[in-house]
This record gives sequence, C-alpha cells and structure tokens, in this order.
Amino acid sequence: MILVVGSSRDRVYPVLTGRLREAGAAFRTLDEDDGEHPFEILREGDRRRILGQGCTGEAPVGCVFVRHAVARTLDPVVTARLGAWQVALNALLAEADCPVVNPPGHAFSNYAKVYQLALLAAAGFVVPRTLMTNLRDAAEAFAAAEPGEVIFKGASNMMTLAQVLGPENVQRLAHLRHAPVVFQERIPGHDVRVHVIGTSWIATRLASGDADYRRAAFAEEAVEAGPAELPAGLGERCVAVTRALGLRTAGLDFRVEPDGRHVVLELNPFPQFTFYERLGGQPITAALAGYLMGLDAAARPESARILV
Amino acid sequence: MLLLLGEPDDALLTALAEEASRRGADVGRLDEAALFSAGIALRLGAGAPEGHILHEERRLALSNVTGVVLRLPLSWWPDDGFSLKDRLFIRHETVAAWIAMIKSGIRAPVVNDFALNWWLSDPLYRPDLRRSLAAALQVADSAPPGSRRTEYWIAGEAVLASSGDPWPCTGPALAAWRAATGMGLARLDCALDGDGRLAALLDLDPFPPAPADGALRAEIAAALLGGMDVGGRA
Repeated sequence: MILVVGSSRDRVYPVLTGRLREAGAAFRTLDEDDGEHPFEILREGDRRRILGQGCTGEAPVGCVFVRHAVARTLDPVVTARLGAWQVALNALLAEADCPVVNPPGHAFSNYAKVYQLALLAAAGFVVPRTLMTNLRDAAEAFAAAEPGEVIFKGASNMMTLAQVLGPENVQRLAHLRHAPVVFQERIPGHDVRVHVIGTSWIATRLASGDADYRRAAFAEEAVEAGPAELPAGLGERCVAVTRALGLRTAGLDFRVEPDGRHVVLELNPFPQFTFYERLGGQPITAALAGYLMGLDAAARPESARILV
Repeated sequence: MLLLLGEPDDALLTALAEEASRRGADVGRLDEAALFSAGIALRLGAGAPEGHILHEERRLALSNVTGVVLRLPLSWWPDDGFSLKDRLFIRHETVAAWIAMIKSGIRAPVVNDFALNWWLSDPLYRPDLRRSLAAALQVADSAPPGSRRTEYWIAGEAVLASSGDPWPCTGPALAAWRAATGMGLARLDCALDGDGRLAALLDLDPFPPAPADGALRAEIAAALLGGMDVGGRA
C-alpha cells in the first residue's frame, strides 16, 4: 500500500493520485488541506495506525510519498492545525522503516540557497559566481566586476523569481540593508530541469525570453520545452547528490551555456513535477507513480510499521 | 577572532569570553539583534567560499574567524515598521543567509554546528538527537528500575559530570556521533545502573541553559576552548 501525503490544493497531489489510480496501484491519501476531515495516529508499540480520511489503520504501508501542504494564509487557526498535523506526520515518517519520498527531515538544504549551492559545488557541480549580501557597495562591486549581466533572487526557499539587475531596479539596492539577497552572474544559454526519480532521471530543456522561465510560464508567454540530452555522467551525478542528501527524488536546475557547460543553480527536494510535465509533455508523474509502485512491491507487509 | 553569538546575559558565553581572553584570544561577542542586522557578504565561485561581516564599521573577514560558539535563542524579529508578511519574509531570508554564512563561509570549528532542523525550530530535532546518541551508545531511552539519574555535559571532546559520577562510556561511539551531528556542547540527562554503567539516555539538550555552578561553567569553557585553536597564546 502506498501512502500519499499532500494537499488537494497543490497540483502534484491530484495528478499523482490520478496516475496511481490509472495504474491500478493500491494507495491511500492524507490531504493536509482537508481541515473538515481530521486524522489521528495511534501508537501501538512499534506500530502506528492512521485513522481518518479513508484510512482504517489496517493496511500495511510499503512506501510513502509526501509533499506537505503550504500554508496559504496567515490565519493562526489554519496554520496551527497544519503545523500540528505536519509535526505529527514528520514524527511518524522519522520512525518509518519503509521508503519515504522524500523524508522531510532530509529536505532542508534548499532552505538556504547559498548553503545548498556550496554543497553542490563540493559535490563537483559547476556553480555560478555568486554573492549573497545585504551591503549595497558589495552588490555594486560584484555587478561592476561581472563581464555580463547579473541576476538577483532571494536567499531562502521562499519563492522569488530571478530578475536581471538593470537600471530599472538598481535603486532598489537601497532596500538591501533590510534583508540579504543573492546576486549571480547570469549564465547565457537555456535552462534544463533534471528530475531524479530513484536511480533514473528525466531531463527537460526550457527556453524563454525571460530571466526566469517560470515567470514567462506564469504569464502564459512562450516557453519552449522538451526532452534534453545530458552530458555523459551528469545524470548519474544528479542521482548521487540526491542520494547523498538523503533524498530519493529531486529537481535540479541547470543553465546550459552555448558550449554545453551545465551550471547548477539549485536542487529542489519537493519538485513541482506537474509544472514541467505540462510544459514539456514528458511522463514525469507516470514515472514517479511507477517508482512508488516498485518500492511498494518490494516492501514486506508483515513487518510494516505504518498501517492505514 | 573567536565569535561568541548569543545573549549578553548568557553566563556560559561570559565564561567562554573570560577563558578565551585568558588564553590571549581575540573575542567578538554579538547578540542576536546585532548579528542579524550586521552587514554580510558571502561569495561563491570556483574557489572556496569567502566573505565578511561588517558590524559597527568593523570588518571581519570570515577567514579570520578562529571559532564560533553559537547560542542564539532564535527569537529575533525585524522592526515593527513592516507588515507581518514582510517581517516573515525578512526573518526567513536573514536566517537563511546566516545558515550559509556559518555552514559554508566559516571553516573554523562551530559549536554547535546545528543541522538546519534546529535553525528551522523543528520540534523533532532534539528527540532525534537523543535517539541517535542512545542508539550510538546502545542504551535505552527510559530509566530501568533501580537506576539513578545524573547529568553530564558534552564539552568538546570531554564529557563533564555535574555530580561525582565519572562518564562511564569508553570507545569511539560518542566521538563518531559528535562528528556526524556537529554537537560539541550538550547536556545529557542519564540513568546509571547500580555498577555505575550507563543504562539509559533520558534527555539531550543541545541548547542548554548555562549551569548555575560557576566552577562547572569554567570547566566547560576550558574544555570547549581546549579543543579549538582560537588564536591565543595558550
């Protein structure tokens, strides 16, 4: 039995459960945004029984897919409920003896983008020249020393879209003193997103006229997307670094220079698989569903600690 | 420079500052508000990360940091002049930036080099640490009948007793756990059996309040700095 934890307000959760249904997989779900239907976790020795939202606490779980809901409000009632559910689920998953895709406790590195970039550099990936600062003069000196354009974006995992630093926004450097920002050389070329799923990967080429193809996609402007070829060994290194971070799936973002050099930008431990599937038409969620079914098939139900 | 990051009334940091000064080391002490409002720059590229901190017009290159003792309560919030949404954003970005500064920019020892879970106030971090150390030491997590409780302090490579019972464990398990978790300072609440052997690890506090006993504070400070080359005479 596969347990899918997520949010019905997210795109990945309904598409993935649809794929699992189409494939005839045995699965149950916990919708963190369904505040009308609570669930509870009962402790029985080493075993944990989940009751509620269709879970009866009887079926052994062979693997878990988790993509936590994001609080879309500052309403303290909602955020408190969501926080309590996620803490309880994370405690459950920390003790799980079945594969978890991905363990929340291992998925923190992209909270601090520059920290993660340093980890990727240490793993042998090429990274862009980067400055993280809240000092205007440091940012100006970095931009002046760069031979090409400079982009800027947030320092954490909060979603910020990269923008080119130009005359129209240079005045905003005065606000830097309030919060650090990441400045990077803008790598010429196009983007590639690599989704690692277990030991395999799916690479998607993306090209748009915007400094961040996501902004173009959100604005429904043209984004060219399709299968990408990776240089020899790069896919394997994406798998290896994903594993080294304690993850089973990941989305790695690269910029590809005209000479083919792949420069890594970041690694997302909870990728928005459906966004790329929609753009590029590659069967990413079907591959994910197949991977989860393979994990479940390899599980030993008699020793399962989580029952749903 | 040895950087002591924490509140001004933290008696353990005061003991560390005194010990470091006694050893002739240059000491910088910043509370959370000063730290999170300091100027920072961290550069990544082909070489090793490098950067600096700018505080009260004094510039400190990260390469000149000889050690960090991190005892931040993580209670800082930006000024009231922003909306709640903006304050959340500023806090999130600032903490994320300091994670990178400390974990990627500073190559000197950091005590404690907390995992990101701690920075994000993950309530599972502390119990996970206790569980992992209990597993490494192969002891239970609840007190067996007839055992007695005692408290120890991990301070660098030493384990100090706050009572008369010496630390009963030998072998490399604790050192390996310290290396894996980044823990150089923690208080352990333990149960010993009748023969003085470790029977259970009941609690592990990776961010303990300073001990009330001044002699123990000084002992912890000496043990911690003894394992760090903080750039002084001794």
